Amino acid sequence: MHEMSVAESMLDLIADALGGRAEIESVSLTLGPLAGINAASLKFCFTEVARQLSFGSPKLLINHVPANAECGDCYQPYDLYKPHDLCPYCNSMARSVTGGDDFTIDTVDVMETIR
Amino acid sequence: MNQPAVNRIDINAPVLAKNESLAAANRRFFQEHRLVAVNMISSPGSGKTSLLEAMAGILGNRMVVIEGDQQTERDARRVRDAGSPAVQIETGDACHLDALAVKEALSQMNLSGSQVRVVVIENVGNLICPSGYDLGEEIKAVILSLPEGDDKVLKYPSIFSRADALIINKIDLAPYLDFDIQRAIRETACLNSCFDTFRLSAKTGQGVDKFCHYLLNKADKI
Repeated sequence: MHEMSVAESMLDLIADALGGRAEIESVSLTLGPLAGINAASLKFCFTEVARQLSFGSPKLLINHVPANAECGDCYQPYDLYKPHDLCPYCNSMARSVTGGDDFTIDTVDVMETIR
Repeated sequence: MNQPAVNRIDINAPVLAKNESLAAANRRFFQEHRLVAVNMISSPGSGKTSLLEAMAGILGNRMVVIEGDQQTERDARRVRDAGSPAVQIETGDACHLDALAVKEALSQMNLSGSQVRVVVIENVGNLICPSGYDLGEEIKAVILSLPEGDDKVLKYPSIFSRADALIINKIDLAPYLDFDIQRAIRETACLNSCFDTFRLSAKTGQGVDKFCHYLLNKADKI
């Protein structure tokens, strides 16, 4: 269960970018299918760790991006969202895959009180 | 009246950015010392420590091992008894090693002027959590052993997609099991376009020399 330590790394990175703690509304993240991260468990851990570290109770918004696959039989390119996916043109599993290990924090929405 | 407003801040950074910069420092250290570093990853019980014992019999003082065992010194002792130096990292309940733990282990070793060419980091037995943590290694070696079954690759795609070396261990058990070695290789290839495969038995020693020579060749090229 490394999602807990991943959530801590995320808040560490966010605190550095913000120059300290703040009440966070939401965080957007890009996640590829080969990053080795379970999205549901990361969402749970992130909100929980954020609350414990006094960052409010932010939502984690996950943008799932595919890996790029090229079929080894019909040579068509396609988007790979799940490792078991087959080529949508010829049903082959032979392919070369690039990318898919994306795992970045994109933006953070912070609550600010305007007086 | 106070009015809440939302302020959007761009971060655009890898989640594990801090680990990645520490891993880059480890990588420079290995290059400066002309060492090939191996991050050895597998399920518990696939034979990581047994393979290290067999490798120690061949490489002796040319290999050092950083052991990421959870609770005991037992694995480090096994490697030392087999003929190679070993340092234990106490990971407690952690499910993976990170670059900082490896950096601290390296600081306990004196590698200048030694015969060491190969540094093996034995990760915590786990096919999921270690996959995203770069330790600064050149070779990510993933071990799959025959009793585990040939369908593991697509169940744990992240680690197999990043493997530089796929090690199929316990091949001495092949006559008794239904493990389809070609299937495991084929499914790794559908996630990963560049890896070397080694079939070996840590118990009988079959194939272990080939893996050792592969690592020494890599070290010669640094």
